[in-house]
Amino acid sequence: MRHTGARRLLGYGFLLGLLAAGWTLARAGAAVPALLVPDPARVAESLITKVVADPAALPLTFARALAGTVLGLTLGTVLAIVSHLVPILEPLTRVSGMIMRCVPVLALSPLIATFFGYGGPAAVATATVMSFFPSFALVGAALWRIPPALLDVIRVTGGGRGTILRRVSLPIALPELVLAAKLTSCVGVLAALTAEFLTANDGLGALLARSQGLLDTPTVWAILLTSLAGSLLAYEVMDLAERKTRARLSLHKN
Amino acid sequence: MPSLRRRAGTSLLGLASLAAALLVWDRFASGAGRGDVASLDAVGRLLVDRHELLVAAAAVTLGEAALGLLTGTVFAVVAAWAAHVTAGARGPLQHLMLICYAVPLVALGPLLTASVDRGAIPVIAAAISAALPVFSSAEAGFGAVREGLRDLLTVHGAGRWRRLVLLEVPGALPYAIDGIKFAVPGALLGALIGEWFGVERGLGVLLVSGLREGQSDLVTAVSVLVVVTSSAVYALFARWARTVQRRRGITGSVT
Repeated sequence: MRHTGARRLLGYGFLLGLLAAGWTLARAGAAVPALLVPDPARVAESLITKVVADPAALPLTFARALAGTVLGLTLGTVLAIVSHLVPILEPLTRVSGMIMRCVPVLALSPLIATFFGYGGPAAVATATVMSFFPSFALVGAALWRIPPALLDVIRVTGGGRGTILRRVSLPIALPELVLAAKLTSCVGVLAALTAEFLTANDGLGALLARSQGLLDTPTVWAILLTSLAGSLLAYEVMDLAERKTRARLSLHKN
Repeated sequence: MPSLRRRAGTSLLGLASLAAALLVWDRFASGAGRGDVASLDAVGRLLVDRHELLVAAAAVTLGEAALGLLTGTVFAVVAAWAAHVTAGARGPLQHLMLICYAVPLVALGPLLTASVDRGAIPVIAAAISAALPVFSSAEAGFGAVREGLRDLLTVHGAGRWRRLVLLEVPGALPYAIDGIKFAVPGALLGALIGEWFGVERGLGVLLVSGLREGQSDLVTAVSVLVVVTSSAVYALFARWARTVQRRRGITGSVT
């Protein structure tokens, strides 16, 4: 596991080096307009002064992304458990899985904003909707994959549905919940940023919309790199959590 | 037969859920103080009255998404092949694809506006969004080709290119098509978001102009169209993937 982590870090380091080299070459050769590839010092300055230090930019967007993701995962898990306990609702998991696969939910953030309100509520609601479907579909499907022998053991020892849920279903569903968290970790920030870009007066998305209007490319680059770093960090953390959960529960990926 | 019954049950429940959602929506729209939410009646009227505009916009978006999907697929399949045949390339290429998936298109848009023709932005965004699913599936496809067959072709004098054409591409095809199926919503998402940056026509343009001008009926009608279009295109690709898999004797999803 430690080797995998080192290899991943090395991969990111390699790509970062490639980006830096490409950036330097593009600036030196003047093949790309200076407006598109600004001075790295100006990007760093924008990153510190406008993106990180401003409480109405990065902290707000990340808080909204986190709140939306946690809310979506919780809602999805609770509804998956409810539909498991009420078997007639089981096909809902499949329908939800279908929506998750074939609808570009992020593109519907304007519609979500009309339902839940513009600005912060739209950002949280978009992240919630994006995180809801994976957790509902994956946890729901896992709850129906319980080995019948395990159920028999619990029933023979006098356990009821509550015991089955607590001792068998939830431990089996846990890695799927972590997998859902991993899949949505990347999109939480994207969802909040996209909704803010269209509907908010604060957050990274609103700053992005303002910077676009002012042709402030250093700030646009700073926002792009911050958002990318946040998404990838969240993904890597959740990937590690998934591997640890599966190892702890002696389960293997697929 | 149980599968048929299961699918019929899912469809019925899907329809029932849709009906319930529409009912809740209508109640919500007619509730006091919910001026932002369009009523079903208003959305239906707009879909009928302005169908020419909506269909033309959908055609533009679909065209951009298709071009982006094609570009992204070619890029992803070449990258998957490179990852398969070049030692040490797999890790960096996987990271590159993950970055494509995580890159915020709304932040990429302003940068592209300053550097490329605005009409190309939706296509580039669609290609970026479609790359990861196709790469993952194609990589699995190249990996699934049996070593024994490779050795057989090598023994008969086939070089790297002949092995690629005769064995690896046909072997990876069902996997790649499965990946394309999963990339369809991503391509549509990329095209829609790409249209927010100075393009003149398309569903994304209508979505944003509806939102900025407070036309919630237009926003809702376009969203309905996006869901219907995406589901229909996905179903089309799912059918194609199933046909290819059946011909190759593969059952179920290959990825």
